[in-house]
Amino acid sequence: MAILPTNVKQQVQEMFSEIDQPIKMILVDEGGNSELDQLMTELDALSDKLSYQRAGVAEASRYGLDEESLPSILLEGPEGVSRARFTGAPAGHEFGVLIQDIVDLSQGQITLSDATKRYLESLTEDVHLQVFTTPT
Amino acid sequence: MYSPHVVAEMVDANEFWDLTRKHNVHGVPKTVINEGRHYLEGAVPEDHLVKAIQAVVGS
Repeated sequence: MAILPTNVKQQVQEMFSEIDQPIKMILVDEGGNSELDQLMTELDALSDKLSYQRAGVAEASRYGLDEESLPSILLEGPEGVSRARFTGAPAGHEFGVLIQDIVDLSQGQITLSDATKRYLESLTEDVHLQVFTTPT
Repeated sequence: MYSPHVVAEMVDANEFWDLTRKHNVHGVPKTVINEGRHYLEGAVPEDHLVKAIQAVVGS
């Protein structure tokens, strides 16, 4: 049975029509049957400019991930693997964030203010942001 | 996306109890900066987040 209802698929497909450069979705997890794998496969089918690859636990470190923070969803655009990632299922509000991230990354779109961009350009130390959310 | 120094991770609080407990996540969204050097509760405006990052790594 499909995870995404038909009306949601249609909405996502409409948003995906704005994809510019090709984007690869990468799911890093333990393998086997999973709802996340099915979700990625269903999303992949909604745009020719999307592709989907599944990576195993052994590849986690290659992507800078801890084994404890799997499953993880990464997006790879024209400039390599994005440093914005999803730890666990992108459910509820986060599903919309994932879809928008795919479109923004494909368009190289940055919605930050000029002041924030200037600050980020001056950064010399690493910053790790973790935003905790729940599906509801 | 913008800075090579920044990693932004969206964490499903229900799925990662160890992390949720470690950072005392009682309400969402909650933003953790550099493994707990600073916390932000709620959906904050962009300049608020920048100030919080500045408090941790400087300007």
